[in-house]
Amino acid sequence: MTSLGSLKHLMAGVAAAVALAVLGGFVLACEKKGSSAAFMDLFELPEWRGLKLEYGDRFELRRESDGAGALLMKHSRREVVYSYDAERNTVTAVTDEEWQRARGTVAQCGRQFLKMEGMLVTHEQKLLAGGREIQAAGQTVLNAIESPSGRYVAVLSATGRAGTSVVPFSSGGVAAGQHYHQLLSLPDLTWTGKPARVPTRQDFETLLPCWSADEQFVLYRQINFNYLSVIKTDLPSTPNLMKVPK
Amino acid sequence: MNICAFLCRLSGAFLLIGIGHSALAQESAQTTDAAERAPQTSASKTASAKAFTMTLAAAAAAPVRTSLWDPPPDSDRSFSTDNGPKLDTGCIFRSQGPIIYTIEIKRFIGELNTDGTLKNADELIAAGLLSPKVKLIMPGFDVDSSAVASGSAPEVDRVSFNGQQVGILEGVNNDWFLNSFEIDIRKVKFAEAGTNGGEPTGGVNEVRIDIDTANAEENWCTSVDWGSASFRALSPVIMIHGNGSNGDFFNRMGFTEGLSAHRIPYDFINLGAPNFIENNAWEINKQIQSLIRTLGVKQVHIVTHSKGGLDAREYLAKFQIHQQKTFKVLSMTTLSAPHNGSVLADVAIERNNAAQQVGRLGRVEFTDQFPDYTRQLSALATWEPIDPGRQNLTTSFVGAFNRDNVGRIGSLGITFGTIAADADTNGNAQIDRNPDEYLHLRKESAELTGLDPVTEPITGFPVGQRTTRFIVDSLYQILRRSAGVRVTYREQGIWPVTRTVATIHSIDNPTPLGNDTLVTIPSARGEGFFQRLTRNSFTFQGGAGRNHSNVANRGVAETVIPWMIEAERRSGGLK
Repeated sequence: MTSLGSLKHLMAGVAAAVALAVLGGFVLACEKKGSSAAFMDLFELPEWRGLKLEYGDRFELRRESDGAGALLMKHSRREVVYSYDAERNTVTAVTDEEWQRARGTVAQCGRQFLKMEGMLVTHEQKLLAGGREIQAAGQTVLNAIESPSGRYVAVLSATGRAGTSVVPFSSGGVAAGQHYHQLLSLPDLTWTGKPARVPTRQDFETLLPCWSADEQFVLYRQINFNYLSVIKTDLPSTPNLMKVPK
Repeated sequence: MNICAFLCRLSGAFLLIGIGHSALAQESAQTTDAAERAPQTSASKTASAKAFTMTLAAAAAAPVRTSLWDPPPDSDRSFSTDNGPKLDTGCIFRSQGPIIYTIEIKRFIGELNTDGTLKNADELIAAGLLSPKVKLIMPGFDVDSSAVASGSAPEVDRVSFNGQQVGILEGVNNDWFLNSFEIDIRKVKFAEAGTNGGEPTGGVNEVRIDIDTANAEENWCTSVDWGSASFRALSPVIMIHGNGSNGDFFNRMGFTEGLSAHRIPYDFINLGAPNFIENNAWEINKQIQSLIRTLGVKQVHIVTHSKGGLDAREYLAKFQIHQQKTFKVLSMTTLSAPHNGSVLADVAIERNNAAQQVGRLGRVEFTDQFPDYTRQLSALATWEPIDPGRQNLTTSFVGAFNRDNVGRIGSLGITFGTIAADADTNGNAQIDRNPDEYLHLRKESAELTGLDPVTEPITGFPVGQRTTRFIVDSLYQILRRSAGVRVTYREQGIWPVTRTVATIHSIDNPTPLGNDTLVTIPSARGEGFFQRLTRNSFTFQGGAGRNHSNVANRGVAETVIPWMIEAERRSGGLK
């Protein structure tokens, strides 16, 4: 009985270990979701992590030179600048000097809106344009921002339900599920290219899109700058965009 | 004769050959009536008139100034016609008349009868929201209404408006005279609101002048330069909803019922999904341009609910400040706007940030300064998501917003008003089910409605009470007690098994604050910042208290409407 009891204990221990391993693997898989090859990469921003939103904050993008070089990112309340290298697909912290040296046109992310008349992400999280609903990759449309030239709209949608809250007047704006980036061409309202998967750490994150001035990149940042991802648009290079007045 | 008229007459000949002052061109080319120039054959009169018509033909496509006065500039209360086949004709006789032109009133006032006249004109007039008369003015030339001529009666040029005779032209020999008539506004045709951002349509009114009606032979001639119709009317109300809501909110809560009862025109802006103040300001600007075009107005009142008040303030500071001269916001009244932010946003965001800091193994807890239900919620592994709109409602965010915004919008000359409310109608310092102090909050929240049948034991409370009451009372108690929150961190456990614990503390108000369960009374009144700009303020409390939803009900509209009328009388369309 003793040996049987020990065996039972041993088996229980093994079962527990297996269960733990499976559970651990599942947790790791969930954690890894953001960096899987099938997804866009998710880049941590340790120097900016936990930045609370304050009125008057400026978050800006510029390339080393218009249409070329790394994509630099600057926050008005942080010394450290981040640099995205598209070839190596890396984000590294650099100094403000690199920002100052860069000659690319500055894109102010807080000044990018949905300008087209009659186009709106409704409170039911649908994208409306020209009096009709535009079906996005995800059923819940979260954000839509017009490109600097006004020729495209970056649309963020998610496959899951919109976030709800027991606090009245506080539901929506965030969603569960896989998040997708898409480009809508204006004024014909047709999708350009394929949807790209945007990684999130967890459900119901607020992700904010921002176009680079040359329209070569759309960046999605977590609202508190805990992480971001960058999408190369593959749109035709348009040097005249740099002359778009602010 | 004034100096201008003298100089004009002196230089008339020069003007004919090149300077081109057509008023004098008219005087020189054809200045007299038949009675003064007799004998004149009918043929020569016709030839003379034709000659003048040809003189002016080149300018027929563009407005011509033949009189001494310009028409009043077009506004949303004054509409002119300065061009037409029967205007600037030169002095014409009955056989060349009648003079007919139309004045199109491109302004939506309210519902119309089938003939285009206002359906509820009497009610609007009785309420003082519409002038009983429309003033029609037009310069008439060479109207010999007091002439004494042998064998002929003085000149009688009958004026009709939409087929109703309204008087006769008056004037003097061989000169211009500005005539004025008062038209019953119930006989005036107004426009239907435009559709899809287009201008209003309809409202075409006919002005007809029958020339020299007192004589069998035609003796007198006249000419009209332009016509203008003006009136006084209350400007429409544009409503801007709060976070995560839509324009229909004002219908659901009854605010528009109050406006409709007074026949005040209104429309909504739909901001869509919860968004930041800056984005919503952009959206307001986009949509308000379309709305004013649709209604044909150049002045509006704005009424906002909740965060819509901050969105609208940002809009005023960033956009309206550049266009107040061409399109005016007369008044803005905020219903329970968090002018100083809401501690509830602080709590939610600090809690989420703390959760990120402590990681999956850590713990976030609230001190016992917070209501039991909040603490129970915090013990759960998940916390509700925070929408982008609420991210802009923290006390620190709105504090910085105020420092930038208040100084910018103070110079716009807008009459600001605030409505604040306390949801505790029975004064027991909590939110109750009986009396039901949060019925309208449930109506606006699917989540609360879904939870309403659920009862559960809550620590420190009798078993069997509704979950929704605890939730809403928790919101009420946090606002009542806390001016802000702070977070401390500590390590718990013995190495190597430790975890980080974040503790959220309340920074208490000196005294408990009344609130509508989402915004405190001082915040809704904008105490400290926005209040400096407000002319009107009212707090619904005690038995007349309101929660954050029914603070937009009909009773509130009845309080706000006189503020709008007063602003309109002081500087708007009823001045």
